[in-house]
Amino acid sequence: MPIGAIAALFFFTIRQMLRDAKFWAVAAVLLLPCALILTIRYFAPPIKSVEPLWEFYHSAVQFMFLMGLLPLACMIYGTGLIGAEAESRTIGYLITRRLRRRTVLLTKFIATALVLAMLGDAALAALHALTVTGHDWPSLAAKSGALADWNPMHDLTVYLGVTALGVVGFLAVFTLIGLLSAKPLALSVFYLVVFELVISNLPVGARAYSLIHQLRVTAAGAIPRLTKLFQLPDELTKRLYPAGGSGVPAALMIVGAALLIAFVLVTIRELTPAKVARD
Amino acid sequence: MAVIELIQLSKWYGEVIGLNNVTAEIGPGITGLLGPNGAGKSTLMGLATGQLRPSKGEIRVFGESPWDNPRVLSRIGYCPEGDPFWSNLTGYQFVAFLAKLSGLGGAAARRAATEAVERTGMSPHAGRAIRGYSKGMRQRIKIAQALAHSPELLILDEPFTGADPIARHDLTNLFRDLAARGVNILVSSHVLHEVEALTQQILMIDHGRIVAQGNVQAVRRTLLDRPHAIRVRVDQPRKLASVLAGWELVTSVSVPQPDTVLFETRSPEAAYERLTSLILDDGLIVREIAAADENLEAVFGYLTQRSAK
Repeated sequence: MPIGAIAALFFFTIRQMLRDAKFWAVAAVLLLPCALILTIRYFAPPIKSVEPLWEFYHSAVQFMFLMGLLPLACMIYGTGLIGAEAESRTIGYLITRRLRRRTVLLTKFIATALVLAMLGDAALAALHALTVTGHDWPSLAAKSGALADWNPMHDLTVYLGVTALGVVGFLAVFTLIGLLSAKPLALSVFYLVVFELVISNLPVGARAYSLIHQLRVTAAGAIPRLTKLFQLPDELTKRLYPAGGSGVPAALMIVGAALLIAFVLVTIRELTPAKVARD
Repeated sequence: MAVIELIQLSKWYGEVIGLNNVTAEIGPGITGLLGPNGAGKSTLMGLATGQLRPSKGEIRVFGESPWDNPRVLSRIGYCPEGDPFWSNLTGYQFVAFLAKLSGLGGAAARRAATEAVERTGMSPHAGRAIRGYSKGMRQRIKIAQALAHSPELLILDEPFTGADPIARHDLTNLFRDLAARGVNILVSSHVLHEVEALTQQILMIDHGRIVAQGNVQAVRRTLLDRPHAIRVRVDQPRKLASVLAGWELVTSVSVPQPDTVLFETRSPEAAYERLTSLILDDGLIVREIAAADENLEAVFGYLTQRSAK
């Protein structure tokens, strides 16, 4: 195993990511909920109990961050993981060296996932800090009902893990889509809207293959009160989000399947655009 | 022993043929791959570097298939055509990164990069970002990355494109020097004399087929057999045309424009000699005598027609 070559590609991928304007654009997108919170906190009257704070915090994380912005960031990087190199023809340098094609893919995937997970977690931590700090907690708790004992740090810890899992999952799926299609944007948007936003919210068996559903199961398993946010009938809630349940194994199976197919595709397919290869 | 073997090799892109049932052996030493644009040169190089898969047949480099084969690929240095770059890198970073990717350790890669950059004359510019390089500098830094890891086979796709005459001279000397040290080189070009300055071994392809192969002198002899078209701009074209029509060595005559005679001959040197005498004897006023089809495209066209027969 050419460890030196793998390390060189790993650090090179990170370096190129951080130097690209796209990275800062994605960072700005992931920080959008923070901007929203700042605006609300500036204009809205001070809150009097924990409940609205709890609901806003989890809504922002669940519906804005995990269902929208994080998949979007992963789509931007996943579809271009090999595609961007192929488009700029630099892929030729990577696959004509000491590394097998699947090693190139896996190394770039891990490096990209690491940076995106750190970025996602940083954005989430910022969102958390802006939401829960600066309040008089004893006073809020005294005026609150069931949520008086809310421990935001516990929920943050859960979400940091869920975000990292989401990055790995979405990045794997979009990497596969990037290899399946020469113009992956349409297919990615279709997948995101139909599968992750519609099917994941329907009480059908296919939702088990949705990453958003598995992320929710994981979060709800560790934060049982979270199911109230989804406003589902009790029976359905118990079935879909069992207490102590975890979507991690299912999410990792999705990741494994997506990467396995991606490995096969990258090994058997030509990555140089035909119009370029032809002379 | 051949370095690259092509065995009934075909490559097509949908309905477009890149290479058509090619069988040949390439190397050792320097081999010039000649052909007009679209002939299939880059396709052949893409196949040899494992970037493309044969549609039919086989390609072997060092006796093995190069597709996803690090054992073979680590012995190859590849300089692609065009401008594929991570242009935010400096020339040195570009070469050092790719040397590491070829398996050299950190210190060894840095040493190799410094040496390769020096050999290609890029030392003064190696600290600058590639995006600021001229076309010639880009060519040279691509060549530096190809040879940094001391490959046994260099595959160079149009390496002289954009290089000024001095750079061409330097690169020619560099390639000769590498070949003298035992490096095998496959170099493509659509300019015959560029390749002739490097090697006597050539492979000419057109429309995906080999139209000539072997020693450049032999190919030139083949070219002497073809009819040469000669264009004469003269004040009395019809008079000249009627005289030329009577010559045995002329195969066809036409007057395409009011002041121009176009004729074909299989003995151009004899034709030029007799033409000079005729002009002097008959007092014709000649404005221009020129070979109408001396460019390489015409040569390839002739060879293609010949191989089709």
